[in-house]
Amino acid sequence: MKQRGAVEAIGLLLRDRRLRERFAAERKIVLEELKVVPEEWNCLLHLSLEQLGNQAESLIGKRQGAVAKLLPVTWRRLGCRAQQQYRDYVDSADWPPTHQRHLLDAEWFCCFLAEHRVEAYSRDEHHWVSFLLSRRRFSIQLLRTPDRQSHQRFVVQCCFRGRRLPFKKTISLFRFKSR
Amino acid sequence: MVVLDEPALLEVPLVGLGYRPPIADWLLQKPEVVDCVEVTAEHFFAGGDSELAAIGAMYPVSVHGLGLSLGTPGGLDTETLRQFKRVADRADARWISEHLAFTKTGDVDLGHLNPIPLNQRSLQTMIEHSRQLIDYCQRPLLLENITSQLRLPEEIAEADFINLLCDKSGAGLLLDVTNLFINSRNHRFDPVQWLEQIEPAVIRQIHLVGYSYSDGVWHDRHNSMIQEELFDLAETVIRYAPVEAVIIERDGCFPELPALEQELQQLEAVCETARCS
Repeated sequence: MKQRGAVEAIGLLLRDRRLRERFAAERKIVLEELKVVPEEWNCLLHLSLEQLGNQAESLIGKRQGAVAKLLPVTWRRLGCRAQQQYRDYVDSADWPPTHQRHLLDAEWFCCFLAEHRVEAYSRDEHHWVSFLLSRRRFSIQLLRTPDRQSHQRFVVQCCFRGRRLPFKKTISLFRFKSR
Repeated sequence: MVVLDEPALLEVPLVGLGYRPPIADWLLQKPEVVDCVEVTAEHFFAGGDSELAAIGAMYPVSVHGLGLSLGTPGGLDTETLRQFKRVADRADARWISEHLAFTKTGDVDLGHLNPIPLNQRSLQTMIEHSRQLIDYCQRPLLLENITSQLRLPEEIAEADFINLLCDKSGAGLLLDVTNLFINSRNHRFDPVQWLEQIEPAVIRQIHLVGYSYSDGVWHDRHNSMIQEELFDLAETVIRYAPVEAVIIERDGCFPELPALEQELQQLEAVCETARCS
């Protein structure tokens, strides 16, 4: 049976908003459920819930900032809904691992928006992020992407991996009014 | 085991910058105002060996890790460790550094730095992992203080924890002056009193970047110019300890090059004033 120390328990509490809410209401029961070793209970029983929440919020804020930077068009188009969409995605997905976590986070967020048929989502940014995550040297794709309000456009996006940095070129083909 | 050299307060510390894509071309021209460079290990996990070799041939390099999670009990992740060493070797790092923190556990990879409980168990974990990292990389290790909204109950005072950790592991302290300043504001303590409890010989490197402030909370967003009170605190640290290098750790919103050069020159002047007075 896996036993946890304070570090592992704090990790779970920072990840999971609902677990934090339960911990606020019934600390000892949650510590028992998490199988925290008794010698580490003291530290956790005296945790400031406000600070714990602030730290969790700051972790999400850092993730959100990185994703907004990677998906500037999507983020701008989402406008005032961006933050809530991102929070909904965070509540429904795992935390992305490894040194490529921000790219993975951006790609998963794109998949979430696509699944929920969010119009503002930019397919060319999704393609670019997928390319950055891949080991490919070159990628070309025909994409349909929202343009101005109630318009769509077809574009060809070419992504290359240069000697030092990857780069992309997007060529607009034509624009049309969507129904 | 590689241990730190005898401290010397005589030399003026090197002044450097974190290596980031927006300023990479400029840094590879070896500008006069930059004495040393810090590379983030994880930025080179996917490749970039020739770039690392070029940086290593030009500057004394510090390789800075974000994801080894030295504060997590249990073994270090062997693949991350291997990649970290690869980067340190390619850049021929003079120093390697990581954080007094955890970023992941067996359950979750939080991806960012979180505080560890300051108790005997964490101390033992940090000592073992630091020794393992030093032995594996065969380079001097510096451990960095973090900033956090979460302050865990302390069984061991933070300064005592750092002194014991450095003493038992052979690592030094990479004192992030901005983090110290931010913690002192958010958690209301005197940063100079905190500093004076740290054994001066262990402080070998400084990180510095401007802080930001919003909604009553100070933040380390790594995207602002260094404020005057941070220059003052850095000067106090350099007077106090045998700091070998001061590194500006900026991640975003880079200013025009003349403004960046001016900030580096101001930092150099602070170092000279601290050491020559």
